[in-house]
Amino acid sequence: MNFKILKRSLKSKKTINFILLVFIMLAAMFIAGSVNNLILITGGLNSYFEKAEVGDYVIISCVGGSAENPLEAQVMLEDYLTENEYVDSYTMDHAILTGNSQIKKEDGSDLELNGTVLIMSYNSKQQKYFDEHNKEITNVEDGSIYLPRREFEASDLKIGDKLSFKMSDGTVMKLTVKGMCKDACLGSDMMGTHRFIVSENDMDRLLADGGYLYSRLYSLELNNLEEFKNEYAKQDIPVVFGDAKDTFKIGYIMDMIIAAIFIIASILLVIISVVILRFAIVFTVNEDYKEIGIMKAIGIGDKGIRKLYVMKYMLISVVGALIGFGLSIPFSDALIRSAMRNMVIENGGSNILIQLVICIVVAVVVILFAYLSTSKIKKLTPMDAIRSGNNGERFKRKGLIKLHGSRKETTTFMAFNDVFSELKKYLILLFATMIGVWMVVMPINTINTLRSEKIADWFSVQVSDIVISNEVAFNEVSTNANKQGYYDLMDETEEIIENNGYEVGETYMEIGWQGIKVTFGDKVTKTIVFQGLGTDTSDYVYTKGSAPKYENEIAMTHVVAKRLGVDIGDTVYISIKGEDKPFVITAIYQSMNNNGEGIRVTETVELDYSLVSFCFGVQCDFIDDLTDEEKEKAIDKLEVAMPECQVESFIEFIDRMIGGISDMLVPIKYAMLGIVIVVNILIVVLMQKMFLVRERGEMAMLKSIGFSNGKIISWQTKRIAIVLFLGVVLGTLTGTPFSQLTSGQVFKFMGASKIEFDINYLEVYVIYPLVIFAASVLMCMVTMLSVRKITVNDMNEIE
Amino acid sequence: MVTALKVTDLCKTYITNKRQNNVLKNVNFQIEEGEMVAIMGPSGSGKSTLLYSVSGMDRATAGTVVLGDMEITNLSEKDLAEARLKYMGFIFQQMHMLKNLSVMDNIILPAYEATKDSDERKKIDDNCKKLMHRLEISEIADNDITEVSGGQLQRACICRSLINNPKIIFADEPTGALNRSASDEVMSILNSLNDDGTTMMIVTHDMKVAAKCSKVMYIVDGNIKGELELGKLSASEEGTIKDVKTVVKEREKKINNWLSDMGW
Repeated sequence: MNFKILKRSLKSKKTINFILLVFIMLAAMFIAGSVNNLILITGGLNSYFEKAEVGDYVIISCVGGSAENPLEAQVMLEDYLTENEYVDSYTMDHAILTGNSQIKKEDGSDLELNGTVLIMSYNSKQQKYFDEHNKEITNVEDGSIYLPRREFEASDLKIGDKLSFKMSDGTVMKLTVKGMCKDACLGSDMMGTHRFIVSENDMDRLLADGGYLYSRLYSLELNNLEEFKNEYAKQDIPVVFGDAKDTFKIGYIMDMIIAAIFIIASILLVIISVVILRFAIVFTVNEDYKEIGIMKAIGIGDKGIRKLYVMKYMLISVVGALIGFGLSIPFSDALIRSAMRNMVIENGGSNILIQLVICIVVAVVVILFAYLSTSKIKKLTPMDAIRSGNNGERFKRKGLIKLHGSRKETTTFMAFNDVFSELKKYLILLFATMIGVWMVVMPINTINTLRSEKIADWFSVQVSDIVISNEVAFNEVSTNANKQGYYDLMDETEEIIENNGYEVGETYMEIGWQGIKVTFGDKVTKTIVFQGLGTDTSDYVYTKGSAPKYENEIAMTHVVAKRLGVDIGDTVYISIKGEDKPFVITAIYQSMNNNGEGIRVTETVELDYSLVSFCFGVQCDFIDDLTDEEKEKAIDKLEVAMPECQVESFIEFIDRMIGGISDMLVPIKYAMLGIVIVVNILIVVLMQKMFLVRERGEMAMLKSIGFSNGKIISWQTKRIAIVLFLGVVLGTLTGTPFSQLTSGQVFKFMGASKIEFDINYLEVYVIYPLVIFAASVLMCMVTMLSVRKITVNDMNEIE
Repeated sequence: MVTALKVTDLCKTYITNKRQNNVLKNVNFQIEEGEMVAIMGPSGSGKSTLLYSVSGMDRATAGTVVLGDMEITNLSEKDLAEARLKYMGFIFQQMHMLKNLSVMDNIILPAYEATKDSDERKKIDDNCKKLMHRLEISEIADNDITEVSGGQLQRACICRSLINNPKIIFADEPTGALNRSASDEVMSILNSLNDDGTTMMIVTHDMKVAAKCSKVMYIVDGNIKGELELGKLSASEEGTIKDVKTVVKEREKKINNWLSDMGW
């Protein structure tokens, strides 16, 4: 008997039941997929580093010398590491630093490089490497090379393509691209140095050539990381770079942003799904009042009735959760692939057991939810139930606005009146639309900010029209250890630009020293020192204090200031050429360079120019105010004039610095928009189908008194449109603060303490909200077309 | 006499479970202006289907229906809706109203739908107040529909049906959900409106309601089997002066006998 009633109940309300099933399915899919990703991402990075056997601390020695004749600084470092009590053991590998000046594609064109290229043998002692299928690379044949994913994709390479290495004797060594390699230590998009791996014999050939810059990589196993860091900070051994394993992990922050966006979106979707589930269950139970009344009248007890409804929801939940489980596997895989494309994932991405358990939990929660929602049955008398739960009592007056005396069009009035009379009924749609807008606004704000000049403040650099990176010239200047060399480089660049028909207003450049010792009292740390050549310190943005003016004044990032426990007015000592020189802090600033590391000195200070670690390239402003298109033309022209240089717009330059994350976020923005539109449409269709059931009688009555189908569709659509509009407005107003709370936190974590998003008002406030609004309204209208089937006989179903 | 409604060869067929069900079979009749016609017949005879097909709420399968000089069987859905809005009034057994509107707003809704002119709307408000006063429900104008009695609500429904000054009122068991005294009140209102010239077509199974109409039509198996002319209800009948109650009782008896003769 119960089975028959159940079967009939499922059949008679198939639309409502189907939509409920869809939401359970989506909830199960989103929760299972998201939790699986959360576990993989949070634990995945650690397990990747463990699997790759990355040491506790990694150092790239200063550049110079050779395998047989190391530099004094390299020998000093090895002696120090051998004697240090906190170092259990260390490995040393030979490496070569190079770039586009020495490596070319087969057709002679440049590779799209993100910084310096480090070439090492595949069997280096430092760590293990993996291919794109997460298999360890245990052999690289002679004549073969593996590249990181970013360079592989950006340079548009295919397996089998050849790369030419320029040898000092004028010959060329050709290596065949075998694939992409995953490199735990230097493989993140944020790293400025990326590693290519070759065979042992090819590495020996490159090392023996003498035309390549030589360096050494050290991987340390420590017994006390903190003590080692303190001890090492006090040393004045020059290195290109050195930091703990965890710092390399932070390089994956951009991968984490993508993952975080998906996780936040998934969590929001889960919340929407749960709220909708509750709405759907309560609504369905309300719809069943008449049935409940009849069952009560014929003597079926509360428990029996409840059992019947719980059975119905149990069936829908189990089927929904099972389908959701099936869908969560490809969903999770798709997410994890984009979030962890630079990492090695255990078990290929999906933990089926976890996903299955989560889907079971979703089903149990829904059943519990249904059980609690059906508790109303106990309170109902057969009469109440037969009267559809309406006993004639009303404690709150409806119809807050009046039609008489109104000039409004009737359907508009009815729509507004319904929304304001029963706002609670529409809160779910309002809430879901608002969250949907957040989900779209968040990546839009992030992308637009990452692509705006505003980001210059976050990196503490000056905005320029173009940036010209000349790696060969930089290497020459740094080898000459001469400050004037940098000015000469800027003058030469300026001359070339002017010879190409563009009048140059200013040229300037940022140079930096890594691992510089800074002391305050008994506290010692190592950080990066920046010096702007051709710039004025007052042109930079500071969060506190005033720009350093004199030689003994500096600005410090809040990250370094916090670590040293200093503030404006304090004097710190910076190690320059082996001497600790005093500097007064006059300003605090924010920077996302190396996760907030940085000290800015004035242009007049003389530092050790033999140890300059990096140069951001020559920045140039044209005298004429060029449009974006004109700038693009200028870049194309200058690229031809300076084939050895990388000529970029400022935005392209910044984008390269942050690993091209904004490009990666674009498909995510569209994916979010797609998910939001689909979810909103589902909610609108679900609600509208429910209203079509509940308000069938009212619609039939309106038809009888002369309202056309179009007018009834207009009434119902306007009602939904009002709610959607309110949701969109609330969502857009709160979307930017939500972006601050979510992706803004990631930027804060990276060192930018004061985040102000670059808001594209047209996109954030008009285009995307309008797309969400229009798609939902359109679907509401399409759903409402079934009003044509309503006849006067349906009036008997009036509430 | 001017014909208000002319029905010719009206057919209505439903297909249920692949079975053809001919509910109305070549129905022919006409109602003159100012007439108050009761449609009677056993359950399932096609009374309500006839009312809905004639009023255009349900599409007829064949035949024609002419309201005044307008053939409504040829109208599009949109034009039909407009015809219902402007030329017809409807009263149902259940007092169907929008739950979020006050009683007065429910009454004026079709009139407001018919015009956007603000001066016209002022006239509609005044007209509504007059109607409510006439039907003695002025005091519930701003009430929610859940705050009034069934009789009051049905009177409000009558007001709504009259708000656009329709050519004809269609009523489907207008007193079916009311008690006897409320039913009598509603019928006396309908009689009074009919006295003022409003044409009415009422579906009913209640002899008392039929007795207050000027004509009774008997429908069985989708066909009009016969018509009984009763004339306007008044205290004066066949040259003698009687009280209305007596007249109604006599007319009831007459209808009863006639229906028995017809085989009901």
